[in-house]
Amino acid sequence: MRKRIPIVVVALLVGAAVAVFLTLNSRGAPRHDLRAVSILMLEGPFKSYGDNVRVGINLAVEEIQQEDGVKVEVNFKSFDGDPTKALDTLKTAVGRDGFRFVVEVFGTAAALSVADFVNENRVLTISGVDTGDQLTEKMGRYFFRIVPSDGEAVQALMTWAKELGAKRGAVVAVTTDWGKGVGDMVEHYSPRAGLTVSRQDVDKAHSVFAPQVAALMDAQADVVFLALNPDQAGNFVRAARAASYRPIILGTDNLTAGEFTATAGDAAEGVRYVLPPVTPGNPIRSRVIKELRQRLRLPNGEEPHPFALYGYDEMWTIYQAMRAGKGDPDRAAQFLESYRVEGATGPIQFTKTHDVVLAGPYRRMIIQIDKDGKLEPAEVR
Amino acid sequence: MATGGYLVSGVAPMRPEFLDADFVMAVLTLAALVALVSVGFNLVYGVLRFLNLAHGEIVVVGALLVGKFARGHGFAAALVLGVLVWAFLGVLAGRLLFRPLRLQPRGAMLGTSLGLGLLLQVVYSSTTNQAGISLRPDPIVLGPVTIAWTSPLLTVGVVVAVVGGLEAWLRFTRLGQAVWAVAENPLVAESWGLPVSAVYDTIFGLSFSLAALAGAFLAVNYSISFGFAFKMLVWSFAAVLLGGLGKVLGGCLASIPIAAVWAILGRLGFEPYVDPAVLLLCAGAYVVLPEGLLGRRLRAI
Repeated sequence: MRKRIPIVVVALLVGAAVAVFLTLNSRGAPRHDLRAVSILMLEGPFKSYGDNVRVGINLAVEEIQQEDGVKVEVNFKSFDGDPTKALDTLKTAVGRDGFRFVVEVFGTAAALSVADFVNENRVLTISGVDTGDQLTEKMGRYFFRIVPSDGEAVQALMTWAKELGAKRGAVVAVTTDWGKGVGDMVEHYSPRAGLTVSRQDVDKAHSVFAPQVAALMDAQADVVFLALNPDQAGNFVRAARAASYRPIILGTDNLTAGEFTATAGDAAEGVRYVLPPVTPGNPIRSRVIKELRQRLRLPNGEEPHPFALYGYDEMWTIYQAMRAGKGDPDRAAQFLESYRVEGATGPIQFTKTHDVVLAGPYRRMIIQIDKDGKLEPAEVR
Repeated sequence: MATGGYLVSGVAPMRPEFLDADFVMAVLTLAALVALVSVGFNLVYGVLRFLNLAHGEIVVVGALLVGKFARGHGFAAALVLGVLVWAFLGVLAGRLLFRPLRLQPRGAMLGTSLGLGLLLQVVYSSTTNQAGISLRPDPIVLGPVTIAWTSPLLTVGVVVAVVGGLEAWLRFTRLGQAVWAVAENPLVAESWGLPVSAVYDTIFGLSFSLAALAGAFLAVNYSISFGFAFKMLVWSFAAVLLGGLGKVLGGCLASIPIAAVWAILGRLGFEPYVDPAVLLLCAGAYVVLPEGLLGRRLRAI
């Protein structure tokens, strides 16, 4: 009896090992590896941004299943914008849950906070929304982004300001990593455009811009670069309008959010911003916009927020990398370094620093009031 | 191409005066709204002796409520409706959440107010996707006269009328007098047969309704988000300290130097330092004038 027990135990262990082996084999390695985590702001005041990215990612996941018959698992995690919480969330996803691929860590501050971790732990990460210029130096081997950095956008704005005849500039920047980055870029590139630039920093809860407007009027700034959150930018242009201050007002994709026009109202008319280039007549873009419009329940003619398109493209990109690398982040990263594809947001190809290669000049947009009295952006050609 | 009046080229109009009329009105508008937020905050402190940490959220969700009503009604009607509904919910919150704790240590009510704030944040984020609330109502048309809701005179006028009315109510009505008594000593007031329950209901109703009114005007003049509401709460707290804890009129007067500090520092390019500067100013004033700006001339409510 004493000798039988070990034999039974050994038999059970062998049986269990065989069962585990067969189970793993029946699942297939690719399916096991096609998992990614996405760290977004899905609650709180920035929920709309997170929702747009999530809708884009989900559309790509469905298409991948339809076209390749592969089910990709994306685990969405929410954080409140605090970069340390993004890092904690990622550590749990990697350490406890075994994720090796990340499709979006939302926001430049969060991306900067996780960059060292993803490189030390070989976690392949793609972003379509983190535009902060500081990220270029921090991305390393395992971090890629498919959206151009703010440095490119600011240079495009400088060229435009110069063409419009501006002489004295000012930047109003929110004191977040993103806002500071854009503010620094404006100061850095303004001498090349022949502009003298003054700077006003405001914190992220600031909403009442009368003092800043008065200060810019004192400084006789004829062009103002807004590195503010969308609702803040809206409040700024309203305060400018109330003080009869009419400079050239320029911004980047911060002015594409609905919060900007909702807050600014008619004062948004004439505000200009630049957007990354797109390939004219890109059929993927048209199809994806149509799909996203349905999912986001947008009226005909209204374009989905760019974050939804970037969410779509980053999901397809990381899927291709996961498949090519057979679940290995090193091989996937290597694959992306020579990756070149036309996405919904335009051509996707990476530089040596893993920034996206800029495919052409930035688009210039101006907000106008259409014949129905609605604020609409129009491309300036 | 239309440019909405923004320059295509050229130099922006110059305004060298530090104190022009537009700027002064902007300062007064902000001061009035800080005062309105501080009154609701101060009323609860004055009577129940606890700092309602949910007041910022109450302001934001009050504005959200007015905004929801404004979709089906004119803005003036929505404002009245929103203020009344929020007042009713304030009475409920007072009865269900705070009144049962009035004989407990103050920390219990403080903790409950934190919980209420979190609950209101959840209500907000499950109701709207917007980061902030912006209300853009049509102007008021009274025959040949058109008044924009963003008019500084309207905002300041409404605040002066509301605070003046409140002060008069506190001084000259029986229930107002009862508020003073309950604020002094609720147990003695109860033993005298004063309507303590009605006082608590009224205070919470007033605090919530003033918050909705302030939130709506903040959303009309700027946009209101939790971050901005927290900033307003910090300034209101500073106004309460500077004006004297529990003193409605003192808090209102104190909002003027606070708005002036904000305006001057902002104009000089030191906006990120406004909050610490305001709190330092108030801490200094509290040391010099512990009874607040109005000294002992007003009784605490």
